[in-house]
Amino acid sequence: MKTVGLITMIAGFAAVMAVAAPGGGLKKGESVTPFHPKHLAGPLAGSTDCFPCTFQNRPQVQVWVNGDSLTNVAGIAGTLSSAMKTYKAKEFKGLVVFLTTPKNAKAIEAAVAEAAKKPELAGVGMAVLDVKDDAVSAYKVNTAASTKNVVYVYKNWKVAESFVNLGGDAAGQKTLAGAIASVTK
Amino acid sequence: MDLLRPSVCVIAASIAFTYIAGSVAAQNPAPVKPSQRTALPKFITTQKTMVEPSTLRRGASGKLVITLAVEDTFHIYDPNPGDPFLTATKVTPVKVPGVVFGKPIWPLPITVKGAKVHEGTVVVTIPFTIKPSAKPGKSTFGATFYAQGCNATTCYPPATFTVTVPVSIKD
Repeated sequence: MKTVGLITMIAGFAAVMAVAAPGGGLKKGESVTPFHPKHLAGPLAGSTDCFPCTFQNRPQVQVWVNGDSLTNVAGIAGTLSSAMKTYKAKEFKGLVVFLTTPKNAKAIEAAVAEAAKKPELAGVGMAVLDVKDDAVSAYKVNTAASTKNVVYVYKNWKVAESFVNLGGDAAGQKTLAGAIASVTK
Repeated sequence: MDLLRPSVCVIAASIAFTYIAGSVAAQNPAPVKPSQRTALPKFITTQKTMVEPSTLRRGASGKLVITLAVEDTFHIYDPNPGDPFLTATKVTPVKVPGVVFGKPIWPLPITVKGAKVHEGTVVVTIPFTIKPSAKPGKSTFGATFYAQGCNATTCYPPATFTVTVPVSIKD
């Protein structure tokens, strides 16, 4: 009986940890800040322009990728591409930022540039940023291996929703689409 | 081993409680102190707030003159920036009983990439009238700004700040 109690307690603790944003991240109401990634695809391709500075108060999403699989990221980016069409009148914009190290930067850039050619990801900004860039800490992105992605849905520079380790599957896409809908009203 | 189990439970519960308590505390930050409310954002390097005339009397009119120095190379947006997605600067006079503030008057903006902006030294004037029924004595006039500083390549997040000046209303 005592063993069952202990297991229940530990399981409960683990559940609390999972729900309470394991990767940290900006919370609702916090401000996004300027940063200058290397844009490989999308509206700022070929530049290091600041995404939120360029699109200002428009509804936007930033997806910070920290070692997530391209398949999962493609599911998320596909949702962004779809939302950019749905909310064209609201000028919704989406950006995926892949964190790199000097060792893997070239390989990631090549993979991202290739992935960006997929029609289902059309229009979505794709960029790379060194994992040691100041923006990583400014955006409170946990770079531990357990954090695969951090997603910020925001408008007027204020975070409306954030997700850590968002799935690119149907459930994750639905969650993200709902959050985007809330900032494009 | 049986003796250890309750201890483990207590430790686990204690860690879980600490974690939950920490989360709750993070969601309920301490109230902003008055001194922090008037802190200038980085893109405003200095400000000077004054009233004209310097001697205020009941029943008289005057103006609140706010001079902001915008950080070099940066600009703030005009209240009508010409693009709905830009951060229009909002100025709200601080309420003072017995004093009626008018609409803020801005200098003419310049146009940068199609947006109406202000650079360098920006003087905003707010006319006011002191009602005859106003209480004489010491008071504080001021205004709260909501603005964003940007330059050609970057922006600060929008910020709210308040500027004030102590005044004395005479009979």
